[in-house]
Amino acid sequence: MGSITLMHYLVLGALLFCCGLLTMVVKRNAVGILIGVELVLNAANVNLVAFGRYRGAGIDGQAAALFVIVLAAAEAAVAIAIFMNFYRHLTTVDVDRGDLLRG
Amino acid sequence: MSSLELMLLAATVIPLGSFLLLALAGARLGKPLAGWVATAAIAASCVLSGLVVVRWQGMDAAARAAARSAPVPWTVLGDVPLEVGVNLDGLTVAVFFMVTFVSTWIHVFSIGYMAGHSDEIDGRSKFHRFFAFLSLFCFSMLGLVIADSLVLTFVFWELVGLCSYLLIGFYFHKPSASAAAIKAFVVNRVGDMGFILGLGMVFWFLGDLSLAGAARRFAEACGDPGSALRQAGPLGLDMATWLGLLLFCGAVGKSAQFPLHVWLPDAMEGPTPVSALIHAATMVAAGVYLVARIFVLLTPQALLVVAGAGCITLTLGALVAVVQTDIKKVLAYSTISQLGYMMLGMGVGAWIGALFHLLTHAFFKALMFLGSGQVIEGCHHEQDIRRMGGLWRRMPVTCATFLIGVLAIAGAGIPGTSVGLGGFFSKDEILAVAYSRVYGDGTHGARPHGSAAPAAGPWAMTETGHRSALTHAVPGVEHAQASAPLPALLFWVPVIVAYITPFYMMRCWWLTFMGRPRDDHVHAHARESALMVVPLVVLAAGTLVCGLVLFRPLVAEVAPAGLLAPTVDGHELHEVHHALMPIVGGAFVVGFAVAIALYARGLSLAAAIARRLRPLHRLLEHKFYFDELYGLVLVGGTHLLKGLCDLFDRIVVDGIVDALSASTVRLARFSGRDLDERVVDGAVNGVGRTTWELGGAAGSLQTGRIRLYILLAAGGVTAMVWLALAAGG
Amino acid sequence: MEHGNLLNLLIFLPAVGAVLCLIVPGTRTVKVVATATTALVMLLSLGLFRHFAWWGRGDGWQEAVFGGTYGERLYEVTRLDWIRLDGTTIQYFVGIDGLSFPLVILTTLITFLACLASWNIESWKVGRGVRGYFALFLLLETGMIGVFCALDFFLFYVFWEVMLLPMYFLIGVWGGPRREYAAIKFFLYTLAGSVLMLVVLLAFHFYSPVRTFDLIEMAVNDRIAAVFNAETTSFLGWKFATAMFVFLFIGFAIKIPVFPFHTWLPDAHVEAPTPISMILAGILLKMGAYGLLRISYPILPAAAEHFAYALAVLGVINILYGALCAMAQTDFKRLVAYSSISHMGYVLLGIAIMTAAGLQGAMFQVIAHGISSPMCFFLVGVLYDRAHHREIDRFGGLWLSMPVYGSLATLGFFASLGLPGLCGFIGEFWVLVATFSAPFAWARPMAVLAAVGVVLTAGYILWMLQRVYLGPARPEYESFPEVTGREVFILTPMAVLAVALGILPQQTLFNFMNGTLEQICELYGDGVSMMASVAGMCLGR
Repeated sequence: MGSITLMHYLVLGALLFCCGLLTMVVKRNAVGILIGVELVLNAANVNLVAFGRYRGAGIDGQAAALFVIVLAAAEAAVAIAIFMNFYRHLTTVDVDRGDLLRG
Repeated sequence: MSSLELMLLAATVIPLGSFLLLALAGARLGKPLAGWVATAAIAASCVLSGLVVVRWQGMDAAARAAARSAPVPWTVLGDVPLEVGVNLDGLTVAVFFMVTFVSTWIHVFSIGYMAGHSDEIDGRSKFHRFFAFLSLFCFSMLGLVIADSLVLTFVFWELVGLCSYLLIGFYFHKPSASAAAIKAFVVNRVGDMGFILGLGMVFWFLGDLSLAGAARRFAEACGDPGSALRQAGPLGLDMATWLGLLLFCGAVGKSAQFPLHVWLPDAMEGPTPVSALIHAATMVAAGVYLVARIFVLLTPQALLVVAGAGCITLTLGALVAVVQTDIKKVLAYSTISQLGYMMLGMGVGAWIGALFHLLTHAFFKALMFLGSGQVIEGCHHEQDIRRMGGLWRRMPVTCATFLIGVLAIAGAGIPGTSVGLGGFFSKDEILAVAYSRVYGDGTHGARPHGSAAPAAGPWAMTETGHRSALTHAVPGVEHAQASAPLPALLFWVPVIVAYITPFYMMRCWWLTFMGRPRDDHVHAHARESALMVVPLVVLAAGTLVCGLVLFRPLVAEVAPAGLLAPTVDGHELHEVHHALMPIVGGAFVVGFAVAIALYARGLSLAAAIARRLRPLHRLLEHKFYFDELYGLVLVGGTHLLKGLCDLFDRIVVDGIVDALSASTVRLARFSGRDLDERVVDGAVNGVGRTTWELGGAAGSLQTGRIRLYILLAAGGVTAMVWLALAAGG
Repeated sequence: MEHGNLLNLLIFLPAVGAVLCLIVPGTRTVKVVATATTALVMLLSLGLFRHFAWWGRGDGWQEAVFGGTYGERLYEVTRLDWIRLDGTTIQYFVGIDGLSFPLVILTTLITFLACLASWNIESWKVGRGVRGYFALFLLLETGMIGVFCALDFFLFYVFWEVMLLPMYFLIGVWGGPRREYAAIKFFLYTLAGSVLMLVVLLAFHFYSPVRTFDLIEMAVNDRIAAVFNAETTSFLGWKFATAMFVFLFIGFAIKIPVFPFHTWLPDAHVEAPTPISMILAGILLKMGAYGLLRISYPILPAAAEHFAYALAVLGVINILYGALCAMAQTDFKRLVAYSSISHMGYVLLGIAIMTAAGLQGAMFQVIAHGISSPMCFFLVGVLYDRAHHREIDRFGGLWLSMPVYGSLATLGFFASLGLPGLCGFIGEFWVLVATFSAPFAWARPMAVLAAVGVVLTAGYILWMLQRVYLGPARPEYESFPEVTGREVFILTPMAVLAVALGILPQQTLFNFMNGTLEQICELYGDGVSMMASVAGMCLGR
């Protein structure tokens, strides 16, 4: 059993990304989609930290990850505000019921 | 200007003043004052011209030459000045006096005649109009007589034509009258067309349109063998001949010569005094007068044509006159025949004889026309001599004066003496010259005259007694025809016609005045008007005396130098008469006798003969079918051409224009609707529509479903990565 | 060259009058204003006589009046820069010489008479405004006088177009039943000519070594003449002078009008109201002949000689064809219109043969026809006002019921026929004689054919007189009133002039224009003028 290499982290990140993406696509609940977004973002974070660690980039990877976490928090706040409004208009959080952006 | 010229000028202008007065205020003058105004005017002219004649007679040659003054400039044609002046010579004086004298008495006659003939239309009097026209005619005719330039001659030439038109068409409510007026004017215009072209030739070749100047230049140019005038022109005649012939065309029209003689008989639609004045005494003789004036411009070939035209005309007129039954038509055809004699005289070189005949003819023909007017007026507008007869009882003066006219035209006289009437001298003089030209020895007795009289015509003719010859003025230039004898027909045809003339005139007189009345109605109402008898008597007296004593010497002195037979004086005239006596001396007796024999017992004998000679009679009755021929060919041809032109204009020219505009509209429609709307607009709209449709298609992807967007985004990214990897790999 | 302002006054006074017509109250006032304007213009134009007066000048008057060469002596000249372009200037350049002087007088006179003839506009039953009619009428006068006075090609063109538009409306609005058709036909025909003239205008400008629009300079400047007439100068593959001459000729031929560009004329005349017909026949047709003499012949003499034969043939066709067509007409006005075509043929023929006598005849015919044809049209108009139809065959015997009118009509139509002593004769006679003696071999047959026109003219005029004025009186015309004082007043000046011109051609016309015509003849170049001068004598040929 070898040591844990960069490839492992990348595979984990990819899996996590796929899970997040899948969640975004299949979940009709708005909160579910938000969770999917979080998964995708965190998959990116995994990759950032892994590259930072293995490619000798100092703390750049961690810094970027922290930045993304902060951004995700802000994003979540905004998204939840949008959903609150969405709910107020449609009394549901099922995104398929809202197609106001349809062209 | 000399006093003589001023007198002639004044005598010319006075009738113009009368015309203006009558034109502006004639209606107010009314009847018969308007007539007396015109009569007074022409009488004043007559007195003036009488004074001129008297004074002229008393002058010697030097004084006569001094009496002519230089012409005054009128205008400029190109760079050739046109001048006008009075052509003062014996011929002018003689003709002027004749015109004013005859006119005056015809005016007097007209006052009586028109009193009953002018008011028949809707109660509107045209009496003053008649005299206004008559005054205008007198002015024009006198102007024509004194004109000294060809242009001025042409101006008055057309004016007398206008007066003739207006007076023939005086009874214009009758369609036949206005048609006759048009015919007269248009036929004259055909001749004038030639006249204008002749003037063009004079201008071109001679560069001087005055009579004297043209004659001088013509002599110079013809003397020069290299001059353009001697070049050959169309039909083998040289340009000089054409010049003369074209000018002669005018005379053919005005003097009713063959082939333009057709208008004169129709002109009898005019009032009878008009026929007497214009269509017998004066205007129709103007053609002969013109030929006399341009005589020096005529080459021997041209003179031969003149003689030929005259010969045909005099035959034609006499033959047709034989069968006419309208008294005025008989006189009209006899006028044509007599004009033919004059023209023949001009053509054979009997310059003096022809003009002499012109003057005597004016008297006796005016006399006879007035006589016929008296008859027509007296018989309530009956003009057919078959319905008259026996009128001598009712109209003794008319009958007697008419007979004097008949004797004069027939050339009655006592052969071998100088006792005779007008035609006896004048017509026989023409025949005498024709005889000598035909049978005279071409060279014998002739003396070349050219060097002695350089101003004479180029083909100047010299003569000795009545034996004459033509020699060329310039030695070395031969004109074969110049000295050749004329065709014998030019003598024998007029001689034969000289037998016919007394016949038809006597027939006319006899049927009118003698025998038994054939129509009681006509006879019963016939009467003479006192006012109208006076002119008859005066003109009869004139016919008896005036012809011989006054005119011939006046004319003779003017004769172009070297002219053929200008000096046939009393003594030689006897000789000529002696020579010709067996041939023509008794012609009038024969003619009269035949006529009286035929018509003494009424019309039946003549009718029987006419039945025998049916085709000939019909030919003559239809005047050789000239009217029909011209009507068919010329008038019909013009109408056809006019119709074709009109059709061409409306169908072809306008058709092209309309088609052009229609096709422009079509093109506009095509370019505006088809091309513009479909192609150009189509392209622009197509782009828009495609964009629109593409937008619509793309819009359908925008479902607004967020999950689909995510899926698509993911799929897109995947595809791009895939592509990048594939490309990189 | 003598400066003066009279022409400016003549040109623009009618325009001022036109504006006044639009603002003054009441139709009667409008008429008074228009008539007063035309009368004033006519009186002022008489002032031009002081320059051309030959009386009282003694023997050397010809030299004193006309000067030496073409364009040396112009009167009442105004020369102002108008539009500055790169390298050239379009000028407002007006002035008159012996060529335009008689035409200006004719224009002011006929316009005045036509204005008087318009006084019964209410009775035309067209129901259109009086105000607009007189305004356009006066504007038309501005254009016409301008055309005759302009000596700058560009200005000439502008006035030419200025004249066109009022005419279109006057026919198209105040005309007869088919007025739109006639007006559009007139307009398109004339416009087609204008376009060709515009091409020439530009080509002259760009080909000339001296950039100018000055018509006098183009005629007398040797450098310009050398370039224009050179064989090597070509325009779209044609010889320059030839092409320009043809273009100009078509432009002017439409106005004259020359067969086959003539069919607008009968329609325009038939539909136009009487006064407009008078102007159309009296003045507008003359512009074609004037244009030829002002522009084509002085500037392009070589091409003119080249086309002399063709032009003469067209002239003869005009004479004969016009006369034959006139004979075929049943509409009185159409007959007079076709007779105009026939008479203008003499003008073209006289111009084409390029001799002094020919030019004299042509110009005399221009003026004479400018007097006799308005008279004829007015005579027809008088009849139409009473009968409300123009069918020749339905008239008859009018000389009985209207003796004064009948006499004036006889005078007018005989003047048109060319009777000696009346104005029509001199022009016809001069042209015929000049043609016969022209320095061209083909001139003789042309003269013979043209002389046939004399017979045809007599034919159709007399036939018409017979059908309308002679013959038995018809009851339906018995009650026609005799000509009114106004009508006599209009006819009298024309009748007097018709007689005066016929009797005294020298004093009334030739003295005023022969000097300039001879100068134009001198421009023709040595070949033609020498031949022309010997034509009179030709003893040495």
